[in-house]
Amino acid sequence: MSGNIITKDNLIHDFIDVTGDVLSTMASFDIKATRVRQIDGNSKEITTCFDITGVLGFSGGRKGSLLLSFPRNIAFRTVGGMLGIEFTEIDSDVRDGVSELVNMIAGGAKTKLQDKGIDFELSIPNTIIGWEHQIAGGASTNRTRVDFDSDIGSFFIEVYLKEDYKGV
Amino acid sequence: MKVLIVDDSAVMRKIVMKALIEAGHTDLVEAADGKEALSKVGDVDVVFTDWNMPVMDGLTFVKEFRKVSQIPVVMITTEGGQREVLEAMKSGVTDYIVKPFTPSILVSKLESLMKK
Repeated sequence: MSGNIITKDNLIHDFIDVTGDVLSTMASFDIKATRVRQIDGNSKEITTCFDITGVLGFSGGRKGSLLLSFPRNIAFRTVGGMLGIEFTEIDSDVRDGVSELVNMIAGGAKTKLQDKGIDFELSIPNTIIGWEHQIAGGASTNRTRVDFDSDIGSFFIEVYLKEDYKGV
Repeated sequence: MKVLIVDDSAVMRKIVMKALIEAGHTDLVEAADGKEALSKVGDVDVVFTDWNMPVMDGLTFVKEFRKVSQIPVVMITTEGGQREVLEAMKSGVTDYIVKPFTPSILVSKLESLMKK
C-alpha cells in the first residue's frame, strides 16, 4: 500500500483553503467544505465524477494527482464568472477554464506545501467530460476526497500525494 | 502601449485581455506559447507570460527574449513559491503575478510599468 502524505500529515486543509481562495478570487464563487473522506486503495473504489473533471498530475519530488469535478451548472458559473459571460454548453472555454482552475488549485497548494518541505512539480492539466465518468486511482493508492457545497450545488476534489519518494 | 499576452490557456488570455480592455488598454496581441511569442514580440512594449506551457515554456521564452530585448516581462503563474520567483527573476522577469489574481492587480502592474 502506498501511503498518502495528505492523510498522514493532515495536509488536506491546504487544498481546501486554496480551492476556496481560487474560486472566490477568480469567479466570486463562495463554497464550503462539507466532508473529508479517505478512500482506501485496497477498497478498489472507483471515483464517479460529475459532468467535467480537471485532472493534474504531480511529479518530481512526489508523485500524485489532483481531481476537480464539477456538475455542468457549477462549471458554467465558475468559468462564466471568470470571463463575465454565460455558458449553456460545455465548450472549449469551459474545458479550458476548468483546466485552469485545477492548475491554480494545484499551484497554490504546491506553494503552501513547499513551505512545509514537501516539493513536487505540476503537469499540464487535462479535462474529462461526460456525466458520471469514472476515474480509477492507481493500484493500492489511498486518496483523500473533499466534498464542497455552494448555493447552486456540490462538487469535489480528490487528492493523492505519495508519502515517500523512492524514485519510482 | 502594445501588450503581448502569452498563455496556452485561451481562457486565461481572455481573462487578461478583458481586464486590460476594461481599463482602457486595447492594443493587445496574443500567443499560445513561448515560441509563438518570440515571433510576435517585435513591436510590443510589455509582455505578460504564463510559465507552464507546451512547446516553449515561459522561463525559456524569457531567457531567449532577454538576448534581444529588455522591455518589461511580467510572469503570471501558479508557481508562487520562493524558489520559483527567484528563478524567474534571475532569468530576466521584471515582475510577478501569482494566480489567482484580481483584474485590479493586473492593471496596476501594467500601469506601474508604464510610469517607469
